Amino acid sequence: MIVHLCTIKAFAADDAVQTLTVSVPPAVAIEKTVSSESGNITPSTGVHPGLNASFKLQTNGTDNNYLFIVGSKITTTGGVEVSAYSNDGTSLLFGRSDKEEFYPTTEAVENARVGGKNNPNVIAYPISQMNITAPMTVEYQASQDTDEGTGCYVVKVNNSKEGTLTQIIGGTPVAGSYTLGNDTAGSYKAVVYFTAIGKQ
Amino acid sequence: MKISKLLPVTLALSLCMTTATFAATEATNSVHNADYLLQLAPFFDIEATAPTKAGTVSYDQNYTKISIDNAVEGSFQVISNTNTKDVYLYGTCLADSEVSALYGDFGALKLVFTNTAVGGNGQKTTDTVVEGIRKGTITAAKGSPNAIAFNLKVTPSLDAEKSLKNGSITGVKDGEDNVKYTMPNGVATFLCSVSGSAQDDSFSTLDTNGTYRATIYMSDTKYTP
Repeated sequence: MIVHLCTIKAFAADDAVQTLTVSVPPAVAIEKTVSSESGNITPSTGVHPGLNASFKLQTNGTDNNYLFIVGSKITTTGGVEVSAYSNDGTSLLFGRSDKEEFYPTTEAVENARVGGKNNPNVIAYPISQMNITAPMTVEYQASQDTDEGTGCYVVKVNNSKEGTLTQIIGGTPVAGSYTLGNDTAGSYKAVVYFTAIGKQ
Repeated sequence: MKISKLLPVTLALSLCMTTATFAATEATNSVHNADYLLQLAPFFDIEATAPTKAGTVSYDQNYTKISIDNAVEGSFQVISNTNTKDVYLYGTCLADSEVSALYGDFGALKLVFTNTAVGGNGQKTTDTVVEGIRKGTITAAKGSPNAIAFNLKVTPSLDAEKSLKNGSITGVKDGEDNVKYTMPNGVATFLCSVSGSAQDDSFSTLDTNGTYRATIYMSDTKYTP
């Protein structure tokens, strides 16, 4: 006689399945790679040696994900920041920045923006180069809204993942924007920024 | 439900929440600036903008009064890009040495002219004579041989196109020898005109014939004789 001391139990099927998914979101990295951002103006002519900046853009996003803009700003009376581009985007306006009491008025900036001659403490210099490596493109869009008003450069990545934006500011002032007596001695500043705004 | 089944459910919920955060399309590290900064140095320049106009004089039959027929004029153009700038006007004439020739109150300036003849017949005046006219110590005619004083009118103006809007130039007498003008940034013209008749009993028959000259200067440095 054989006696079994252990009993084999029957287990019911009890499987569990977990499907793990991870979404990789669109992301952007912008880095300023090279730049020459300061210089001296020759008072008698208004000429400076030239300025430039380059930004490296990396993204796995598309133009549907982001609005890539190259904006600009200049500080006016009362600390109000307005766009530093001329209306046609061909020049960048610099405003006196070292003492608040000598900040340019918004009227002076507006005058310089349309190529006028009555713009104390504002000097316009040509944007002699503004490009980005293909297939990305960059162009000025006068109607594009920014925090500082309308008008900025817009970059289209065209499904590319990486590109370098280069901006060069010419050294000879735009005709009429520099007057020895009207533009007082001091520091003149313009800020150009490159940013990506997520589209929800 | 067994505990062994609760844990995977919790994990799954956690993953879902994390995935929801990643789904946002906010850009990260996405703003970079180029802060362009230019320095504009102070600029200052003075130039005599027009040739000085020489004048002729006429006198009465008794040689007691003399007056300039046509105004003697000169002008300076001053360019400054600083918010305020002081410039000094002063004058000299040649006596024993080159001495200060400007005197009078602001708004009623006078300038001493001296005979340019060098040597010969006592035509050259002396430092003492010029100083006497300026200080008012010569009160009688014939007290100032070969030195004659005339009124000097200075008219400053700003170029409206190249200067601070609504700006103005102010002036004040600065000591005995200088007039200080304070101007805003811009382009200013100072028209200097000498006209009228001799002042302060400085004309007499002791003023011999010849050319009388005074020199006016404009500088950002105060004149100290």
